[in-house]
Amino acid sequence: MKSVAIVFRHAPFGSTSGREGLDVAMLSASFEQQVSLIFTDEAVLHLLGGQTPEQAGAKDYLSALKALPLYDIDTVLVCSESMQKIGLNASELSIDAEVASADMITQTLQAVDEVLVF
Amino acid sequence: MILHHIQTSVSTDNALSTCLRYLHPNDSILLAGDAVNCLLQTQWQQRLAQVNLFVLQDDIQARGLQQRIDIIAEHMSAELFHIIDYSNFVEQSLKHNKVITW
Amino acid sequence: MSKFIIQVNGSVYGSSASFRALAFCQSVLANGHDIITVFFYQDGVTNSNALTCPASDEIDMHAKWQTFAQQHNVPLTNCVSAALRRGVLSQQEAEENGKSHWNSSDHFSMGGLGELVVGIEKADRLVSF
Repeated sequence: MKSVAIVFRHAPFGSTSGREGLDVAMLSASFEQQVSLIFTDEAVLHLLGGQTPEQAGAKDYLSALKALPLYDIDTVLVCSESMQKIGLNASELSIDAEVASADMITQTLQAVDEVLVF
Repeated sequence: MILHHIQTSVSTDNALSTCLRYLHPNDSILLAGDAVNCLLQTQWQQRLAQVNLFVLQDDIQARGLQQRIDIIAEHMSAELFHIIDYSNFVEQSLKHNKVITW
Repeated sequence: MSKFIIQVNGSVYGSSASFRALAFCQSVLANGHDIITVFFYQDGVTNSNALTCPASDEIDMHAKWQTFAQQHNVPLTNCVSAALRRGVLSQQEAEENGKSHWNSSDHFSMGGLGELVVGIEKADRLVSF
């Protein structure tokens, strides 16, 4: 078993990065890897509630975020600096995630075996 | 000890800025592809001045930037600035604990 | 000797990431290391498209990957779902999906994301492009 962090740094829907990154995260978890998710920059918008991806021509992959605990993905970090920059509050996050300082994210990146960025 | 691998231009992508936000003092940055162009800007020379930096030689030479980068490198710290080939890239990818491609 | 897994997300044309990935792979082997697989994901799956026809004075990344795989016996693996979405099909996927044509060359096998995950688990180092 390896520990893997998946970093999301691109906005939802404009590219398929988020969707394809989430696929890797879920698959890694179903292969018994220890998976952490990190949302930074405009990718923090993935966690905003009330989105309708179909209206932007995207598959509704956001609903899969609600299933993360079923995959034993318990560590979900959201960059506080990025949230602040776009005025996103912790209370607006659609899933149970931890608002994390840059230091905390640095520590996570150091601690895991591999990191994939989407 | 992470090797942060940046491939995109700072004008079109914030990969380098994001990576700098999470950089640990023991980490290094490798500039490849269009990412090498950031070295031409004083602003980025300053932001990268304290970072252990690797720059892919083929990408510097392909862009006709060897002489300019050599001059810029003189102003940056000699111990921290390394122009490398692919063989060194492989070596560094193993010397570091992991490679993060932003 | 160390074991690498290489992930290629850059497309066959329009990005230079695939070119650097191949140069890195060649250097990995030249330095006596091993590559478990080169895993093509996202737009990287287009590297297996045998119908790419660059001009004769242009670099042909598809052909270069194919030659590399042949010469060094390195497995090239496409993520099948990423490939299907981008119109990159092997004969088997074409048949299963009722398509009369296919374009992915035999040197690239179609696999699941599980192969990436297992590869990462086995490898000493993952390097993505």
